[in-house]
Amino acid sequence: MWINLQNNFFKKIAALGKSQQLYIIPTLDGIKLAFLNVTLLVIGLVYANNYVLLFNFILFCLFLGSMYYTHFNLQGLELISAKTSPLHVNDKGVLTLQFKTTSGLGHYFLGLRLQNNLIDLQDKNFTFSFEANSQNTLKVDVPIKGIIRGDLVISRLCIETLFPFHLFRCFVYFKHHLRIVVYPERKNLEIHHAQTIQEEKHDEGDDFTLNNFKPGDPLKRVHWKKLAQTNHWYSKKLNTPNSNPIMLSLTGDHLSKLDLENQLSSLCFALYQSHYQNIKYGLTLGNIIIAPDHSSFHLKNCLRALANYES
Amino acid sequence: MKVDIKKLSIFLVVFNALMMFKDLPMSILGSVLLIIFLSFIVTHKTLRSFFKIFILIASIILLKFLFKTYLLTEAGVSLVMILSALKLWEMDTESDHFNMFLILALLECCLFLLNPTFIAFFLGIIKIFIFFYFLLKIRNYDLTLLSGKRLLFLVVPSLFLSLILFYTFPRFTQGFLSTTNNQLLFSGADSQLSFKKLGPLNLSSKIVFRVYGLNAHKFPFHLLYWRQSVLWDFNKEEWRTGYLHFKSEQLTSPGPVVNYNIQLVQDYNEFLPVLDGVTRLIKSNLTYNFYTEHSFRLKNISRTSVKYNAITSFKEIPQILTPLMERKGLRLKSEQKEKIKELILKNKMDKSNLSDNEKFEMAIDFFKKRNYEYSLTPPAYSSLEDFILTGKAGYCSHFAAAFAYITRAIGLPSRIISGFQGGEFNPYDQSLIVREMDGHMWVEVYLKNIGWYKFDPTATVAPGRINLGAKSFHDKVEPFINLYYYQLPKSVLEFASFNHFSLWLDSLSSRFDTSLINFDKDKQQQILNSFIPKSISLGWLFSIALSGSMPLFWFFFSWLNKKKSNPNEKRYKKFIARLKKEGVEKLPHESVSSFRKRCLLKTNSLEDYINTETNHYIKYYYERSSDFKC
Repeated sequence: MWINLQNNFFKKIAALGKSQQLYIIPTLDGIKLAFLNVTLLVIGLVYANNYVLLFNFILFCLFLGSMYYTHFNLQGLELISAKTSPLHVNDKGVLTLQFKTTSGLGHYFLGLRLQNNLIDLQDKNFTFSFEANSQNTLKVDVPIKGIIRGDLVISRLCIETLFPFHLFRCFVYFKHHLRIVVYPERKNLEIHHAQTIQEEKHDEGDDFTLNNFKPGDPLKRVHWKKLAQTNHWYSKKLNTPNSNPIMLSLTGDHLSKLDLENQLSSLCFALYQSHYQNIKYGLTLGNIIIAPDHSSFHLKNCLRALANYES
Repeated sequence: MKVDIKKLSIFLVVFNALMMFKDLPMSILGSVLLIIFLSFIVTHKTLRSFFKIFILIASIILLKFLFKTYLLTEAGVSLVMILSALKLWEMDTESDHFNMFLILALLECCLFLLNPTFIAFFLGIIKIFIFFYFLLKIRNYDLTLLSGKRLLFLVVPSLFLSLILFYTFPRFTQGFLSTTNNQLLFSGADSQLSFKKLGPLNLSSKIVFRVYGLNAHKFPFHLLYWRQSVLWDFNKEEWRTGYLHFKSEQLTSPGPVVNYNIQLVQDYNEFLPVLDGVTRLIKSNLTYNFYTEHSFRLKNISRTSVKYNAITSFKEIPQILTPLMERKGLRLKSEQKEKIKELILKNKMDKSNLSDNEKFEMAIDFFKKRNYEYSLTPPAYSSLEDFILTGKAGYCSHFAAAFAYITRAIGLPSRIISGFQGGEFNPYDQSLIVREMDGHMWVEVYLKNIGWYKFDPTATVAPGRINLGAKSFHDKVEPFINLYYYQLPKSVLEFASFNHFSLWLDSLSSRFDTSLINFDKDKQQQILNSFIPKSISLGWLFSIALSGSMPLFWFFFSWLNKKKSNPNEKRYKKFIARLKKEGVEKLPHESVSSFRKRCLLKTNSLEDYINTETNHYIKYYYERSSDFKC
């Protein structure tokens, strides 16, 4: 119940859209301690016992002190940049955050709250700290993992802290457009549809790149024309795959969610396989048709299409 | 150091149980140990829940059986103790650990209720913070971050604020809950005397009260009698205080009086000890009644420290004898009353015309002829009459009861006074310390034309008990400690330096207790009035302290949080400010080099200055960047 209440509170605060404003709320432990304080005050008054009253005031002031401490632990922190590279479902990745600080006390045990369903922290209790009087610019790599496929832009990042006594939760929302792309998991299931396309054989003359000639390169790959022009030895490296291009697609239109995810995973694996085998590949996903090609950019396009498909 | 939090919790619960050993019934402490033992054996979840519910219900029934009411302090403390033992069964999650911390904090406060001393408080604070330290450690905090300077930043202002709040928080003279009829009574000097229950006496050195203001040179402290309660009612082997309330009474004549302050330090207080004589209480931190003449009783029994100021006149003798007092003072329901009366007056022919003085002398004579002996280990007597007729060995309670019986039997109103005699002078704070072992009983007999005349039957049996004081006398009577077949002289175990040290420690503890923690409303008002105008009430002062401390806390942390600027950055800022005066302002996102170029274009005269400062800053900036670690 408390966790639900807390999550609702976080959502409401996020909906306010305010950036870099610090919020502080007591944790469940903090509320329990406050309740104990009230109980002890009543006991101290009823029994006119000064020792109980003094003990109560010491606990109360540590409670109050920890509130200030928690608040100042986050104050002066500013997010400069947040960046993450695309990752696959169940794959590990890194979210790189860069901060600026004006605090002389440092920031300790800061946690990151990722309010999305695509990625999550590898370690739920992951925290990071910046020492007192550290550099103005601070960088931290947060280990993350993909949960479900999709393509999302997060407009706010929430940093929170419970330091030092877990009695208060202080958090701040930083406005930052962070694009998260999670591709489907790579599974060698072979449940997708693959169709080979027969195409005319091109003259290999045009589709190559030139590299510096290295001893051991076959002589038939030497670009003689260039040698004549520049008096410099070049080897031709063929870009064109050797095999016929293939079109990859789903096996049916109305698939169950599990089947769909499995087929997308299978397609994902096939995309990588084709890419590494130097085969031209294309992708058909519903209305989206990506013509066969072979490049890193092409692979990225295909994977992004898989990530976005009915997500 | 890896510490099992469950074992630490068990240690603290058992430690607290042992500290409350004297105040709680043995069955409660036994239950706590049983629950702890079961927590190791019963591990099955469902079975564990069943056991817990069963034990809780059984404990609530046991509490009702033991204390009759749940309103009693001991009942509440026992319940908290049992709950803390039950919580030991669930020490799985971090939330459980924190709940255990809260229960332990509550348990410590229960300990302060039963044992409100500085030592208990100090130990309690240490115990709780040790537990909290390990609680944080379990939460994977790098505690080095909390050490030293950082910890001081948190603890020092917190303690400072807590002390301000503590001293300004308005106190109430009496707590809100009155449990007069329910409280248990423990006392060095009993407020009742059951003859059948009198058995061997153990000498306890626990302090009952301290007296300040008596001049060490004027008073033979070991001879002073301290009157606490007056036992009027005799009913079937039991002497009780009964209920006789008087209105406030002034000293009859000004005469030489002694003015002194008493601080009661015992757990429960009901009757207030005062010097035996004609006494008037001047001031007390708790409200009291005149229970019987020159004896005082608190309106509500209290565990808190009671302090009062009294004046006593030695030379006067209480005179009042109302018809009710006479009836009570002569009441003697005993089958052997006539037989004993005959034995006392057997030599007198004209028994009806005897004066009070003659009767009194005959009573003393009869008592002396019994040849009683003083002993701390007398045999059990079947009745008071049995002791009077056939008994031999006894101590002050036996003798006082017997003499009061004798005087009542021959028609002299009498009453037993329960209190203390003697005490130890503490030179370190000029106080008289009266301990439980100084507990004593004597008799007051009403004699016409004289009044209530004090007579101490123990002095006729063992004068040494009065002249030497309780400790010296008992050491003289029994100079050895028996260890199986060996006898060890008590003097071997007594060191003068150790005794002096314990007296010094006691004076220190007393001063700390009275001045720093256990101050009362008057003292609080007196101290605060020396700093603030009298027109400001404590309630306002507390509110101001609480609300004023918030911004103070804020400024303190802001000051700490402020990053110290680097001298190089300061120098560059100064350079920017100077150029602003020259009419060149640095743009928000302008680089250092671009700014230099723009400056050089606009101000040719400061070329050297601009280059020097910019190069200096660039040098500093890149040197710092090379140290940058991701």
